[in-house]
Amino acid sequence: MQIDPAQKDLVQASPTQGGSSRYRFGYAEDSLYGRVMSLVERHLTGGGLVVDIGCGWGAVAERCREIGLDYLGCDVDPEGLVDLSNRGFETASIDVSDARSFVESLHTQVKGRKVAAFFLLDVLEHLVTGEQLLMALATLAAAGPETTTYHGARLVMSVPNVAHYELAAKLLMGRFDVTPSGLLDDTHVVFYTGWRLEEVTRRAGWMEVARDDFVMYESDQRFPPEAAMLAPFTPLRRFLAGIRQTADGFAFVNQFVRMYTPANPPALAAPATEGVGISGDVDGLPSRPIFDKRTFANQVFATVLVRTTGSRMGTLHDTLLSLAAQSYGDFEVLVLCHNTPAQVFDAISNLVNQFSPTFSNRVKVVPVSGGGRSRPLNVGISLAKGRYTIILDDDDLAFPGWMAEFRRLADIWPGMVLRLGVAEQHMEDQPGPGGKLFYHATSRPRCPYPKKFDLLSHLHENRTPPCALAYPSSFFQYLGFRFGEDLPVLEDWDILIQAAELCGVADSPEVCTLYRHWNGGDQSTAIHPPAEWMETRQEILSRLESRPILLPPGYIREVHKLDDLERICHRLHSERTRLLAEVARARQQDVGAEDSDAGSARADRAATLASAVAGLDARRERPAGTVDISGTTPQGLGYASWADVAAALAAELVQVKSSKGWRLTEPVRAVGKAAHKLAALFAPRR
Amino acid sequence: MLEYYKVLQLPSMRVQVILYSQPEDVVESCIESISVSLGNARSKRLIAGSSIILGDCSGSPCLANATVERMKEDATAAGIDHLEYTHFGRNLGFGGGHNRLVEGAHEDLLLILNPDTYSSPLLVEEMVSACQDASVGIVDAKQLPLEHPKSYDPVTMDTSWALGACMMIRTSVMTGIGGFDDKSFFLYCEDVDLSWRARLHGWRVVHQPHAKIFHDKHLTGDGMFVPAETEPENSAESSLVLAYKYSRDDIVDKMVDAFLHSPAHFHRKAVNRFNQRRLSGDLPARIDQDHSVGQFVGFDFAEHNFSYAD
Repeated sequence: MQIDPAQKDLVQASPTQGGSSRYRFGYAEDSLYGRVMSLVERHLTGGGLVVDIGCGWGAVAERCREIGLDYLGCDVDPEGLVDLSNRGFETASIDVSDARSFVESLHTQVKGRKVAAFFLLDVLEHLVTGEQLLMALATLAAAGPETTTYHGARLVMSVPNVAHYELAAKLLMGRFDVTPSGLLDDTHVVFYTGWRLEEVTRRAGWMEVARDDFVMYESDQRFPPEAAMLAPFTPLRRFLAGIRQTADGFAFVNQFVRMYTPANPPALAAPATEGVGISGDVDGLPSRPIFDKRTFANQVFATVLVRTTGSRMGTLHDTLLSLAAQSYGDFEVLVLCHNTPAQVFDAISNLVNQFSPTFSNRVKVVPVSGGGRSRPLNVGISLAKGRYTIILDDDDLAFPGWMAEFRRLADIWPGMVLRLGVAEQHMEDQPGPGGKLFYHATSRPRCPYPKKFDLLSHLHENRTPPCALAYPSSFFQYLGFRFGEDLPVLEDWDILIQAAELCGVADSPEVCTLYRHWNGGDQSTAIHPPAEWMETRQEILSRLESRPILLPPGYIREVHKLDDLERICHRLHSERTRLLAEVARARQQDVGAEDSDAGSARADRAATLASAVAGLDARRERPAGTVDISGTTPQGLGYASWADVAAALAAELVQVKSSKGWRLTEPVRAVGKAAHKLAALFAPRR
Repeated sequence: MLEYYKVLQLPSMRVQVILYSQPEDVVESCIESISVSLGNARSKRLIAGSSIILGDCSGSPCLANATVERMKEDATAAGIDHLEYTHFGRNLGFGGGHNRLVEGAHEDLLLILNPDTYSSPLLVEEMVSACQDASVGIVDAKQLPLEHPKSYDPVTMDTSWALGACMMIRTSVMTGIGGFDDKSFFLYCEDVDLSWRARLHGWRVVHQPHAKIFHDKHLTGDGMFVPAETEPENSAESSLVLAYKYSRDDIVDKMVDAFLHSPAHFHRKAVNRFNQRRLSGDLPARIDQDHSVGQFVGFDFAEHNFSYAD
């Protein structure tokens, strides 16, 4: 027999018995029941009657009495009731599986006493009609104060979590191991996740007021304990458990321990949340919630999050105009006004309302208070209804086909992060007549960002502005990811590398958006000093280092390239030293020589070469960045790209080889070989 | 109220759009957005009545009758007094089309608008605001997402010429200077010419950076501007004609030389056509002999803040 570790000590303290006695658990402070009673003591004061529904052997009865609560144990199992009676507690044999008859019987037993709480401890999962029971109890508790018996009664529940990580891991192994007790007790008929419990209780008319979930990192499902998905220190468990925990935070919750207060009587309960329908009708009460897949099919394609502080009304206007002009309109817009004064918020709302209703009806202006740059994005994510979530800040612009191209990519590569071509343009503010600020471009748009996404190079630094990306909303809403509110900057980089790792990235070369770069810096560079950017970058990298990383197919070759490049850089480094010495010697020898111009030219070439080599050597400190060299601009060397650097090295080699200055040939030859190899590395990838 | 309003009270406005084989949804989007902008300006009591006039240069009509009827209904709902659609039956060109439409115009202000644009809801009021200065004859708007690089005075907002994709011009100025020179310019540079002739008549041409229009433009993967299909050839020929008309033989010579050495076939073709017109006496009379308004900076017609050709 498998023993529920949650109760292991207690079971051992109370020898197991056949039949219902398998649920004969005692009370201890560090057990589930201790957790339940701790919650009760903190939040239930004033005495009254506790109705312990499905009480079994009444593990909490004594503790209730100790804290001044009267106790009534209800169950159909006579063995537990007899035991309770023998311990001096009031009992009632009531079948809880029929909500109506239970309520009628309850009235008889309660006899007008004030009910402080209903307990349902590890009971709900045994009842097909659990939701009906919850509704019936909520109806009683929500009754007006004239019916003082049940008015305001709390509901205290513990419910096993069927989405515990170790159960999820077992499913991945193709196992669903039912046990005599525990998470997969063979008498469980309905299974609850955190989400489902919240949905069921909300629909039944209860509002959660407190929780103290019972966490077990090692559940009763950890068998065989050496399985890579279950053993505590394996990369596989760390990776999968990390995903699971991020999704809803309940990866290791064994039992949800919650307290509720009546919210709405069932008849007045709010409609089911999106995606949830009513599966049937039993005695006029709706049955358990089910998902309707059609709801997803009807979702709007995308939600655009426009983050603004209201300090750039002009560019916000531009951004909204570019959204209104989209050729594909199946999207909504959330304008997230972060810490904006009331009059600015009103001005933004007024601006939106002046657009055509075909656009303004799809825009919501949302006030957001507090927090850093990530706060408005997370607020937007919580409100977003689109299948994809896109960030377009209040100085970004979208070309008319921006959304259409996202849609085209999504149809081909569903579920991946979608990435479009993006141009960058330098802008300049200028005060105009009457002090009214305006601005204009100071450069033509350029495309400095890599056309193809590369995870390794993005692990080094962000090379994609947010406006070029569409995230599957499920990444946020189902996997639970959020922009790091503890990160003062670089929150977009942090989320991109996590999303890219899990979802992959689908690229389009079409330039569909314009990222405006403000001469003199934008708000983020003005507010946040360079040190803060560096520290945040290190923090993000530290987080990456702390967990396993999932790499897409094809990266073995990239890792080998890194290794090759590292060796090349080492070699270049040593050649640099030799080369500089040769340059110095050449200059000495050229002084006063007839061919001094040629000698000087040779020296200049060598100096250039030495500079390039020094740059490559410095580049050695940026291992991830070296992979996507074709997309970077090593300004310090005066070249447009690293491929150009390699080409220049090769060209220098040709020139020097053809010259009479053989003094320089020998060291350069070695560098040239390296350069050719480097050039081959930088050849465009498939 | 400023002087302009003392004279005109609230100005009435006519929007003119020349179509050439645009998809219906593009035209509808353009008209919807400018209708909203007109409606906003009217509700703020910045303009009086307004009308929208569409002229179609396509071989066959761009718009079905039902579409036109629907657009009329929508325009009426938006507070537009009148919407009219005319299929010319032949391609009159940009300037010729507008000249045809402007015949009999009784409104105070004309808004020349491209059909591949989406107007800001504040476009009309910002442009009307710039027209409050009685010395201003023509106003142009800021184009998005790709700004036009021509510069303007940051204090006076004066600019060399106004973009024809979205320009507001007093009707009296338009008719007073004879409209677009459609005999000399079929496509491109007619807006430069109109602006310079207005300036020769003493009117100012200004840029209004707060008036915004979204103009459907594209970039290559390298961030290079993608011109419209008709632009390179027509603009090359029109540039030559413009330099000739504004008495800049030096610029004409430079252009001809550059075009003849260009690898692009259309450049040489443009030179051939220009020479043929010169031989047949089909070039415009020469004006601005003292170069008071014609501004040639390289092959541009204004100082530019940046170049798309870098």
